[in-house]
Amino acid sequence: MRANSLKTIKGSGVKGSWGSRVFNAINITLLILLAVAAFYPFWDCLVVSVSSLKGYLSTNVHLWPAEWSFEGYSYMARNADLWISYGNSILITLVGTLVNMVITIMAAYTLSKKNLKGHRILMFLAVFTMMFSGGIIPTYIVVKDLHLMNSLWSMVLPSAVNTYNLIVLRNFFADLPAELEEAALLDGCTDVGVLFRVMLPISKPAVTTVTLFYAVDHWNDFFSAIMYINSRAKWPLQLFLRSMLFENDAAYSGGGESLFLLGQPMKMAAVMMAVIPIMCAYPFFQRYFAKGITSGAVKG
Amino acid sequence: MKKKKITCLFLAAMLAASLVGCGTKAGTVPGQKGEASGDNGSGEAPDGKDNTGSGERTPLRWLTTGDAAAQVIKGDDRIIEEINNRLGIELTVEIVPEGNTEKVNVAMASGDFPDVVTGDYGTSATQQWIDDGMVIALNGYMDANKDMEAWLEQYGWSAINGNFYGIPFITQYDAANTLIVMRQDWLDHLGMAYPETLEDMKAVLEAFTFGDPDGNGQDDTYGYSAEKISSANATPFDWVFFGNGLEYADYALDAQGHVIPWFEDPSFIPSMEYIKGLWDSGVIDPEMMLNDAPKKEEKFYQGKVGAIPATLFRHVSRHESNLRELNPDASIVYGHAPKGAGGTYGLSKQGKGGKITCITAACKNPGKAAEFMNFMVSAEGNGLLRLGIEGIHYTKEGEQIVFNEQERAKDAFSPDGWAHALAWGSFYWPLESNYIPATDPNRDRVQESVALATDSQVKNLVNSRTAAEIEKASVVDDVFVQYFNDMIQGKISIEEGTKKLSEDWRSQGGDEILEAVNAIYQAK
Repeated sequence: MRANSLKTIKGSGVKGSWGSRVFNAINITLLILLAVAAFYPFWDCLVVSVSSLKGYLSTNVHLWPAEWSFEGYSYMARNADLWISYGNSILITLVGTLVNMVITIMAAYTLSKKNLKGHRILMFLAVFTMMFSGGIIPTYIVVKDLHLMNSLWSMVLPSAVNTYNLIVLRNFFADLPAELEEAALLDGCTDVGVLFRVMLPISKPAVTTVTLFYAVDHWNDFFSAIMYINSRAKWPLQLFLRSMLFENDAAYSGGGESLFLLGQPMKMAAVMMAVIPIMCAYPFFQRYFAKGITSGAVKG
Repeated sequence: MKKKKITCLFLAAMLAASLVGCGTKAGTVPGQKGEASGDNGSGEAPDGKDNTGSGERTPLRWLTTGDAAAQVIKGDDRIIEEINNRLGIELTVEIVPEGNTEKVNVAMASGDFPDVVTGDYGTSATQQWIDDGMVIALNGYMDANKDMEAWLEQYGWSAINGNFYGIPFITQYDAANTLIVMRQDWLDHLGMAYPETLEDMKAVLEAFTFGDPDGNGQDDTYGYSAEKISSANATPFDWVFFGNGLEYADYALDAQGHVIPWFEDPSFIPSMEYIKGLWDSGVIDPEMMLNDAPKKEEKFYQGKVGAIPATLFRHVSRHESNLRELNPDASIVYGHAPKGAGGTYGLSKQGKGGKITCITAACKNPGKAAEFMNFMVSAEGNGLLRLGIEGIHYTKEGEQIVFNEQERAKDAFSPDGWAHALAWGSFYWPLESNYIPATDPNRDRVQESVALATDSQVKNLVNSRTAAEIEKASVVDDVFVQYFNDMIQGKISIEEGTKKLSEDWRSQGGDEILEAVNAIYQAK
């Protein structure tokens, strides 16, 4: 963007003033520093994860592995529970996001209709939950009474709709030209058909963005698992990895039986294994991301 | 169009299949043998009576923080089955992930009562269990359960108005594992011995800092590092206060025999002067105030510091092997905490926190629950959970135990002679039990480190934690930490800092704490 603007100035024959050039230089330098500051922790994590303990200890700044080792990844990969947790996380993310999107899209589209009676009340009720949520104990009671304890559904259904995402999508739908809907209805399309065959295809940026929000939330969720899941066979990946790190911290108290003190390379390998899958998915969504988030947020 | 319909049908079928696959049969808690029946596996006996005599087993559901590092208990675990057979119960164990006490507290607050519950001892949440009648007094069950009675007599101070509301397990109550670990090779290089007095310690730390102990010709080492101070109960220099004559771990007594904060003891100012002297002379790692436990150890392994307070017990070999990653000839040494002029010494403080296991008010068969808890603290229970079933998990050759690791691996035993998943976390840890498998090659060394650390452990003046302490602890701790750091860094003089620390500590909740603690102490 910055490069484009500079090019434009140059191309137009307008020479930037000395002040603006200094400003750009400082701006670019600061942004580069900011980018490095944001990127370095990730890079450090990656480098340490592929270093041996000796290599890790030999320096404090990890720009490149002093001694390569994939022991951390190898150790994690040998653990069968890790793959079970991976499977659980993938299932929760796929099913959870599907449930989220189906409900959110239908609710958002419906609430975007100004002729819907009581839409303001319905919207107020949804927004109310953003300000005053039920809290952990009532949610626990609901989950228990619905017999969802120790079920993967306990990680999907209580968060089936996120109000923020609902508002983003509702605003996006509300912003779409009403003429499209009218034309489709005149052509004999049903209301449901209008949503799925007309509105959704032109709402890719917003839908993709919200899908990413939901998917990341599900992928990173561990607290619901702590609260509602007991069986290790149903632990999601984040809980499995956190548990390994927690166990590591607990071992420092020294009273326990475990000597499961992971070296930093193994810890970082665990962290990388948790973030890499979602990072791989991110580029596919990114081109829709900025457009989706802004177009849904303009209109209140 | 047809294609789309088929796709929709397929997706709907997938969703339905997922629902079935993810769902749990109501009323069961998977993963354990003998799952309780009835609504959400509450484990309640149908008629509220002990049915053992009739041949039926009494369902019992135990929610515990357990041992997060333990092996997974499978559905066909023979130890659980053995407990069931011996006690006539149908035990369902729910171990919360990460030993997360919040989950236990939420379950209790939500009315999702198990029969037996283990939570954190001395917290506002467990206090509320007692205040709100969620758990019952055990006094009526003590006569029939002698091991439980013996245990509770040992923790007599934990009774509230004469009633025991649970079996407490205080960690590091009469055992410790922390000592100051030093580089033996550095001491050898400098021609010095492990310090026995505070003055020796000062000399060693100075030599570690300025005497080029690693012989690399560079001024790149520090004498001492530790974890940052987190509360008044755990400073990086507790050994200085005890060396200067501080008598108790938690409080002190004034001339009239009243309980006062330990930093009002006469030993505090000379100790702070000693610590500030170390800080000013540059022998303390300047980043100490930022260190956590791994960082502190990392600096020791990297050869940046020569002495750290470190947990030992089973970590002795780990420290040595990690140290040798970069320094193959390095070795470690540890010993008693250094003595002061008066000959006093100390390092670790006696614990006040831990776990408490209670019977809930919802338990339909508290007699059976008490019997189960009695079993868990009995020699019979310990034998079963640590060794296993004779003939299956181990055999005896004379007095020697021979573990059958193959069979043990089928149940939730940790390898190399370590114990079953239920052995630790709720009533015991290996440290407090001095448990090291007879087959462990480092057994003597491990036990020696615990003996030394326990010898340097300082007892509390008052064992229990009062409600005022639970409520005000974080506020008054912040006050202490702030003044402690300011005094060391010279932002305020030690005399003035000590005076203001006392004033602020007392005004921000300390007086209430002292009132409650004094009441307990004077009653004692």
